[in-house]
Amino acid sequence: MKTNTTPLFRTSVTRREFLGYTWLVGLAALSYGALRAGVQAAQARVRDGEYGGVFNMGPLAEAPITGGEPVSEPAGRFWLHDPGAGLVSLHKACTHLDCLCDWDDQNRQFVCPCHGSRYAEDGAHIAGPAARALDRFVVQISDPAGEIVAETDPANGAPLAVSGAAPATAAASEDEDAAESPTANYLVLVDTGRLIPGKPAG
Amino acid sequence: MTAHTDEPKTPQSESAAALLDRAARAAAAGMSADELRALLRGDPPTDRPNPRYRAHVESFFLHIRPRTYAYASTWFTHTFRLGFFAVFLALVEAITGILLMLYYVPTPAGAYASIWRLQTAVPWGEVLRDVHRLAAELMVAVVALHMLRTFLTRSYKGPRAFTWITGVVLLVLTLLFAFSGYLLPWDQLAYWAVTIGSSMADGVPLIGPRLRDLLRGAAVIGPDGLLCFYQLHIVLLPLLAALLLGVHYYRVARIHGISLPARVEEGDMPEAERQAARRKVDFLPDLLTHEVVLAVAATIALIVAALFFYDAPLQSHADPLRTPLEAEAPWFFLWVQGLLKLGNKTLMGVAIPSALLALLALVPFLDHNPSRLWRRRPLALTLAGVALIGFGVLSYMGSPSYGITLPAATEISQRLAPEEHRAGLRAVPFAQLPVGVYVVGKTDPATLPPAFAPVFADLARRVDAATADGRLPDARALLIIEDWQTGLKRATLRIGWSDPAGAGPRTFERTIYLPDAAGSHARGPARSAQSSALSAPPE
Repeated sequence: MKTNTTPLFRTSVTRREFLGYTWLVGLAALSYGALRAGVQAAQARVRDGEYGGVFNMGPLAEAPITGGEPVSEPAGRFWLHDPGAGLVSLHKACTHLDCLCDWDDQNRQFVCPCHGSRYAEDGAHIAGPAARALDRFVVQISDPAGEIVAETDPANGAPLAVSGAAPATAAASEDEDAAESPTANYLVLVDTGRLIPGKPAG
Repeated sequence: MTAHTDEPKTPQSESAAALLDRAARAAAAGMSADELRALLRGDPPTDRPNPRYRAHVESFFLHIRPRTYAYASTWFTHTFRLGFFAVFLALVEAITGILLMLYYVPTPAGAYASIWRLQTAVPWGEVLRDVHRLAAELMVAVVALHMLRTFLTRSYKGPRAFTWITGVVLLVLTLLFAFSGYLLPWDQLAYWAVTIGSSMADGVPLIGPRLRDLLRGAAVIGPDGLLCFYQLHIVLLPLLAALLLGVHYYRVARIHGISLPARVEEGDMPEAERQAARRKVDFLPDLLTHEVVLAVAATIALIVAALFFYDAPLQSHADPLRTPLEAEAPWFFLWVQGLLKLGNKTLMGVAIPSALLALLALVPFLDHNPSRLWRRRPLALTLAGVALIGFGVLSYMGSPSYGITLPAATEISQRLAPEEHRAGLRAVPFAQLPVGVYVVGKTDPATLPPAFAPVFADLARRVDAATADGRLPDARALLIIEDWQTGLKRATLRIGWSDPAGAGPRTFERTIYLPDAAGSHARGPARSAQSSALSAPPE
């Protein structure tokens, strides 16, 4: 005959207890669904790199040159600059905590006013707490007809060389007339919808 | 009340007395009119069982207060009433907050103007905002001190451990309140502090980017972000805080009471004195009276401070396209700003603060010391001291002057004509800024008005120093003060120098506008030329 002492954990599950567990699982599933719906409703519709569209920065002839000062586009939150090898568009937001950097023309660096990160002319990280170089936007060159003849390689964000052959060659392959038209009439565009993350520091 | 007058009463007076008594019992949780008089006179209860204890059972507000306290737990120097003041300040925030909501408009287009209107066109509006802001900052301090006191007296033993944890959560909620309220005026200070804060949320593993976007409502803080912080500030956080405060206080009142001072519990104390320290003190009427007096005194102090000594800051209108120089976190977050200067946001902005918070919450379980006496807790007290010094150092590192080097000319302009802070020229009275052109090296500061002279002399000294150490070779500086419109002057600072690399002359120029502080817009916000502030204050 079995004794009637109750074991610490009963191994058998009654029908009522089993239904109770089922009920709890259902409740958990329902709560999870409701929570997800709530989060989805609250979540803003933001896509990575989405900003203000394409900015027209004027004719190529007036684009920044090597050794010059970066051109600020406040509404697009970027600079158009030529640090030496061609045009880059540097996102002003510090890669540390999104404060907008200032151009320090005395040291030729970009400086974050919040936590002191410093970036070189080409956006490379020099000092401070930021973990990567300044992000870049895609720079495009369009001919007067609006055809894009060259643009930053989104894979590496390398500076877009504009002096000499690059745009003309690109144009020549598509349009015979474009090779003859002066590249000075070409327009510089910056596509802020495409953001190229900066290279990790050190 | 020692003796009742047993003179015969007329039927009218009897019924009037009965009416009064019924009214008293209805209004005062069953206490008779005689009992209320006895309370006010400090007499013992008029009946048995004690009608005051019965009131503690019947009234909701008295029910959540204990009937009695151990005498020693009411000693002022034991608790400094910090928990009481935290609740008091929370109530002040709720009341002033509700009044502020009558005027506040939670949109980027309307927020700043609504604060401006509140401060200039609403009776007591400015005092209301000052009290709200001042009480908020005090509340952070009081809650932190409350926690420090609980640590120092080791009042988190046994059943109080869970109460301590709810206290840690309340500390976090208090900080979130302060932070979410920060954005609402929509000035430069607010906008960029919250940009940094929401960028820190991005550093949370896995859900970071979604959390950041949830807070900002878009890629950058805009209408949806402001609305999000507004609803956090006025709905979600108050609900959570009320709930948590309920749990926290209920445990103190119903489960373990306020701790006794350690020396009463385990110190060397004559037995008679110990008995006296442990004796019960009724809440009604003396402790209640004491609390009312404290609340009244604190209210008066707050209002006097807001009227004469404290102005809630309001910088220029938020400019999402320009971060101000020397953006500074509020004092209670300076340590985070200091941490952030040391590294990336996941480690310094999320991991370390969370770890510190977890450590704080686990304090009752890490401290196995059986004694509560100071002299037997050298390790705990040393660690507390080290932690406080650490916070002090980090806060110093968080100040704008640490770790951020501005270009020489910008630095000089920022000292003379700061973008936002009330310093340099902005601190000079309007009448002491005569229109004119002042040239460093030519104008003699001794000829200038007394408040203006030291500011100009400081400019001259800084320019000379920058020339001497080679940062600005051949520096020249010029300050122009013009009448711009009635009650508004314009100051232009121009610094010229020759480029060290030989690239020719260089100049730096900054223009600021200085409103007449004695005019109708006495405490107008600082404005700078670079900001897209509202147009200058109308006449």
